[in-house]
Amino acid sequence: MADVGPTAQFVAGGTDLYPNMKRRQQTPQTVISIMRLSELNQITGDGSHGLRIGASVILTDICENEIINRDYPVVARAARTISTPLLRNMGTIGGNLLLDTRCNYYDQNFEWRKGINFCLKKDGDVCWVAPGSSKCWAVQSSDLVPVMVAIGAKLRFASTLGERVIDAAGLYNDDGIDYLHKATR
Amino acid sequence: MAGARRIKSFDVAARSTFLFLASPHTSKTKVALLLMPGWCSGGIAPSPVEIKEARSALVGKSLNEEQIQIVAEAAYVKARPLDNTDFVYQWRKQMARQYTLRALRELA
Repeated sequence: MADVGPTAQFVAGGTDLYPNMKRRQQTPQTVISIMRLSELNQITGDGSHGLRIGASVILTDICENEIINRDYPVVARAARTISTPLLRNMGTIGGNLLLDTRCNYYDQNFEWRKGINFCLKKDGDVCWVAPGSSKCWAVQSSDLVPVMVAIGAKLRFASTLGERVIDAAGLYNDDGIDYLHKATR
Repeated sequence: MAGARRIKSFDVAARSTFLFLASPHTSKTKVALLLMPGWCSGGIAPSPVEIKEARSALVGKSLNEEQIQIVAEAAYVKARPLDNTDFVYQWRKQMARQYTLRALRELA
């Protein structure tokens, strides 16, 4: 990431990014997998001392983990509502919590979007949902996000600049384009 | 992150799930509301919609039908989806009330 800069993107399960790349909604020049980082692939702790779930833990493991089902059944139950078993075998909790927002005018292939001269979220300057709006209205679509917000989960972000821990509620922004507060505010 | 947590989820269509969470036994009760898509439907807003009115309606009170109706009404008012998913927005707004009712009735 330090070598290639903003033209690179991290990927975990790829169930969100790869379809988006096919539709040219996201066009990274370099894709860097985090799936071999063992520190991010673990579930540690319990309900008494707090549970830590690594970003690259796949959703199937969330569904089946004994401690999560015992101490945080809400998390396991929400994870089971996500998509299908095949996608839960690939998708990760980190990817689900950072999921791109969805919209009928955005989640289309390149040619379809070109036909309407694109939209505010990608390559265009009009929100076709609310043409008079300067805001993108693409919707949050993660099954785990409302759970993490509701139970007061904390999210830990790390980069070469350091680490920070924020409340889940503080991560999400009510804007379909700038939907995450990943950078330090 | 202590206290009882219970969740309700409902399949509403092929790949659509409404997710409702209430933790009425903690002091940090929040109700998060989100109409969930499988792939390209559902969704209320670009971020989770918190029903703050649920806090005063639920915390420290028994979960009776009157409280449930208050929260369900609050969820209905707060849910203001636009026409940008496969499910029509009028239906999604109506479902906010219905699913809230069903979820809380099961919790009660």
